[in-house]
Amino acid sequence: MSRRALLIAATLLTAPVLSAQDASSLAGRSRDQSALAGVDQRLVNRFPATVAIRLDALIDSAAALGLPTEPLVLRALEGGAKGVPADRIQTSLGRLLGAMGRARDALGAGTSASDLTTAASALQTGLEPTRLVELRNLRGDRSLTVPLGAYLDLVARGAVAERAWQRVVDLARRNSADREYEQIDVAGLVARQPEDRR
Amino acid sequence: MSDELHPDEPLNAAVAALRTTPALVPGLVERTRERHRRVRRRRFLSGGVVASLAAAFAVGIALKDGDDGYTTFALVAPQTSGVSLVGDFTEWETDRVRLEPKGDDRWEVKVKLAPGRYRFAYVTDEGNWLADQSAPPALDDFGDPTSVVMVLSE
Repeated sequence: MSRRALLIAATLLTAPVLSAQDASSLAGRSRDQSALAGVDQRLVNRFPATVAIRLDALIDSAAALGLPTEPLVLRALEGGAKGVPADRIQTSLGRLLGAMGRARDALGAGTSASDLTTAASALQTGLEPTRLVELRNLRGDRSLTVPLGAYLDLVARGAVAERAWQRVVDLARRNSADREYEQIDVAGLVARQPEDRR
Repeated sequence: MSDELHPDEPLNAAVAALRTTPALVPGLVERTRERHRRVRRRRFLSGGVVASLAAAFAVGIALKDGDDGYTTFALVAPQTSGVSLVGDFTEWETDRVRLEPKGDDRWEVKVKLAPGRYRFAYVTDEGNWLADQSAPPALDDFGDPTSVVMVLSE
């Protein structure tokens, strides 16, 4: 058999295999494209299709539970911008989703997205859900974002959590203006001795 | 004999006693103060604070609230060709908000933000992520420096 005949035979034999691979790859891409149809465009633009679909599934489950989705999208975008591996982003989103669910259970269905997100962060520091209820009762209809944000900021700056919480609750009891929460001095709330941390 | 006493040097007790009667040793108070200044400076330089800031090319960062609905984000970063502000309000896009050079290695931008609590950071053109040293740190799953700014409605 001539070299040319061999080449033609090889092409004819491998063509169906290659066509099948192409078809399978195209089908995969098409599946991705159709799966991406409902995915938040920001996720589609920043992540590989498979990651965007995975993250969107989590975000969809938040929507199904009646929880706000924007905080989850933003957290995903933050992870993407920082180059965090997809698995860690997914774990972080899962934690935030769980905490938002617990915050909503404590604060009620009508709670704003901003209050829920801040409350979820507070729960993630170990704050008890009953404390959220206590603050809700003290603040009435007013937003919890500022007092809970102040608590989180104090803890992040090294304040003893219980002391920070008591300072925030004191202001809430006095019906203080939001500006006053921002002015809480962390210096008096930081642990000076190891036993102060309790 | 050097006047550079070790902090744990037993002689320090004697020096402390002499401090109450400085007239006995002329210049003792001044020399002691200078020694304390040197020790403090050494502790600061070796304490990681300056080291970590230098690693991030930043030597001081500031943030303030405006009364006009704008928040000013400012950064002193001497070894960078440009800085971006990234955060929830930019949907974490790294090229949407650029800080402008203001001279003396200072970079600044004003952003109009609705009341709320936002996570943010600075990113230099060299790819360094910087927190705002004057703003509270964010509790972060992702490890990179991130700060929080609260914009009040009042």
